[in-house]
Amino acid sequence: MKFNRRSLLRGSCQGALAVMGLPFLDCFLNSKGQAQATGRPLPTRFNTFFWGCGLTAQLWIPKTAGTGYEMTVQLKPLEPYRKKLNVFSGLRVPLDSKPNGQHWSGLAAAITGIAPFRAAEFESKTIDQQVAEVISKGVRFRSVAAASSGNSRQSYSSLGGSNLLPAEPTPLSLYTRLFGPGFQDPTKGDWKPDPRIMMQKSVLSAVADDRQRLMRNLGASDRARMDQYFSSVRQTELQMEAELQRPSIAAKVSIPEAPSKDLVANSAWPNLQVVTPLMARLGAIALATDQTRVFNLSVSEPQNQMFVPGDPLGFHQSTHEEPVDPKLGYQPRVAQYNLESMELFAAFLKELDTIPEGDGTLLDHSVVMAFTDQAYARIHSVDGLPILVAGGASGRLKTGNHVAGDNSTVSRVGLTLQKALGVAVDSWGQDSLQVRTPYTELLA
Amino acid sequence: MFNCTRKVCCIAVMAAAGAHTAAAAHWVKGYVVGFYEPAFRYGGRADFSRGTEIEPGVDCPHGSTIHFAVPAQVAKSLLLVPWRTKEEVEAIANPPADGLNRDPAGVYFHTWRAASAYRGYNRDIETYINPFAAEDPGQPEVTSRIGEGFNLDGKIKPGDFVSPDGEEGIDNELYRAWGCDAPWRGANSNGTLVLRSNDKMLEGLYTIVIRVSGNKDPMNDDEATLEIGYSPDQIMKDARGNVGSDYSYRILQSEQYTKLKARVKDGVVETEQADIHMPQIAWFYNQLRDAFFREGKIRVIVNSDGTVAGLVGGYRDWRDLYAQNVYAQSGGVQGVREHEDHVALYYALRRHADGMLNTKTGRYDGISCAYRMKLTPAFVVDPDKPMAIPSRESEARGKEGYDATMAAMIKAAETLVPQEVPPASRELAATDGIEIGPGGVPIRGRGRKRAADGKAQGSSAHSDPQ
Repeated sequence: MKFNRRSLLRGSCQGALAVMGLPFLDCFLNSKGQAQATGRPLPTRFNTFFWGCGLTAQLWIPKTAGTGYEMTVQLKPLEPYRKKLNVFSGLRVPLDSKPNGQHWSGLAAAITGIAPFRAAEFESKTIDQQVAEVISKGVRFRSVAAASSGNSRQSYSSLGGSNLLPAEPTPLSLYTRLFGPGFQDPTKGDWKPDPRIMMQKSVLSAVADDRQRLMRNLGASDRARMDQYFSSVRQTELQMEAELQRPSIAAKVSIPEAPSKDLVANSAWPNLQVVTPLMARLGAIALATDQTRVFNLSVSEPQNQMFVPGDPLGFHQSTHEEPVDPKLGYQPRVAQYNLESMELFAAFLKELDTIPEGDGTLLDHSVVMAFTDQAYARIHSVDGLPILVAGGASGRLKTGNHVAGDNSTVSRVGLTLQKALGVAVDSWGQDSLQVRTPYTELLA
Repeated sequence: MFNCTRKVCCIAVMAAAGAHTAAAAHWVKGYVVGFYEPAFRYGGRADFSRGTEIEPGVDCPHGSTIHFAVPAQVAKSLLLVPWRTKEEVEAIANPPADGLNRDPAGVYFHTWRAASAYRGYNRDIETYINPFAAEDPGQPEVTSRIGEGFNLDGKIKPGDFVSPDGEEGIDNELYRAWGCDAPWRGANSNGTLVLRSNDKMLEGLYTIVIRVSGNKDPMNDDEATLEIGYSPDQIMKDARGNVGSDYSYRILQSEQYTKLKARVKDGVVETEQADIHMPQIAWFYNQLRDAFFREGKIRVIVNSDGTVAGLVGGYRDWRDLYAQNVYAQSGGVQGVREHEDHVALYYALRRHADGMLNTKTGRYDGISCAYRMKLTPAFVVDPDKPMAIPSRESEARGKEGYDATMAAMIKAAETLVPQEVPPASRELAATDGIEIGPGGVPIRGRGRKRAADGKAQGSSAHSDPQ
């Protein structure tokens, strides 16, 4: 008898079926550690990281392009991940005749490829949802969002319009969603399908024959209508199917204890320093245990309210109120907040990079798109929006580059990442943001 | 022999062509405006740094304005409000904002912007719409003698500026009134609102084009014509993000268009003095409108380095200038963020108004001013068929709010009867700042609710005569 990671030991016990799961064994991986022994590659994940109010151009843009660039002051926290990082500078955000929705147009263009007509609205699904359609089949959560500054509306994940997929606002709520009721630890040997899910699935299966019979007796328009209806039913079935199978994992992780409910999640820098890495860790474990393949982490709203105790202004207010130091040529306090934002991004990457998986780390099998809303927050400028991308997409994305301004639009990054993640897309974006050519030099 | 003959022929042809050009050839030069700012002359040292302060200079001996920058300055303004107690002022100026658990939306910002909007002689008067009802908190004035602009009244008065080229009698009282205002002051055009408005122009918010034409020599033509107006075509940028040269732009003969007689002397174009309509500076869509210069002039100069500079000046209605600066967002939002006080700006405008005499009131409604422009060569063409300035439906409500707020302010200024905040006005974003909630944050929406209630009841609560 041949076993695989989904095999269950079956038997009967006092006339009832008894099922026992198997622990995760090395024999489930192939000899190179690059794929599971079933031949399926390790899943590639897509993550986003959002921080508001951008960076300071003089301090983050490397002077030279390519792989040999000198790490700049504001990218310094990312130095440990330099070889796994791509830095994009000089990206344009043409708005055509649409308004510059302050603190919105830039971020919306970066993650939808479309300049929005209105602030707080997206013109399409955000990139994480477009990617999730392709890579999240067969996992428990299509995507998960978390906001380390404690506001569930600080989510930049949307199905379009003003809809926002709410973010988990505290470490405990994120933990509970990921590892609370309904979660079964796939790293443990006693994993078994949830009987409630089995019951629901069996109900759906039972009506399958009738469903087919019904469809045969309908006219074209009714059939189309029923098709739509059954599509959503089918989605539910797939979701259940996923939950009835032990998640496919290759990482060596253990599920941590629930975080304390006393942890305060807000915009105070000391709190962000604690909560952001914790949420990043929980997200990383969720990715590693294949609970989800899309994790979105935000550390602020676009009008970044991060503040250091004692600073009456905080980040966003400083971008407006702090004068430019004529000698330095930039706003010094804003520059410090920029740097701290990059430290939070580095904390996220650290959590992904410390989880071994196959022949590398979880970060190697991921793409992390870090984006913001402003190129120069003082004047609400969007041209020159900084975008940072980490992770090699399981070898499909070349890293270690500074891709310097070549007049590309910000949407070119999004198209490239989708190509690397296997999304079948020929062009992405609308109007002047529509692009057909990815950064082919970055695609392996 | 043959060669010689051919040379002679060529010279003859060239001479004929040259004579034709100098005498009667029609010529046209076009430009797109790539930078547009008030002609405020910075008098500090560009390389000076003292923390993050803007250096005092010969223009502004006390530096740029610091309204709402620090608690002491806030307290100073609020102590002018007759119905505020000292304790109340102290609490507002120093909201409890310490520690890790304060309201993340910015305690100081919300508290101060709310309090700044209600400084009238009674507590219900919104003073960005009714600035006359508040005490003047004071606006530092430019003290320098050097200023850019035109001699609009043809006189050389003791208080007039002298241009950098030595021309006397320059009228630019807007510079004197607002030249120390923080968001408009800075070395190398580095003022926040200067940069911001130009960034929005380059993003496509609006486009201004100039077309100069004549029938004589482009360098010397005393019967030239200059047209200035709005273009529906967005500014084209090159790969470096600069304004690209030699793109084509349509010029609309709309309400923001003017055709002026001009004289070209040694390459310098200068127009007659007449009313000028052209787009005004904007950084929000709701600000887009006619900058109406009365008795205005335009000058275009090709500099020795090949760049082209423009200067437009005239008398502008102070109410247009006030509204342009205040109502794009709200007075409190912009005031606290940019360290400017619109009540102070209002009084400064009124003090320095020097044109457009209103015979009814006996006061001036206009103030002399000038604006610098950087021009990039372009092909300026007429549209295939007449067209109006395009409008954005999605932002129509914002524009209506601006118009209604401005109308209320004008009525208030004319009648000296405090006006209510119109329903669509952005001034409703501020509460009255009386109630301070936990963490020092004023209770939001109170002002909005009150205005709505008042409207629903058909009341005109603010009719106290001054």
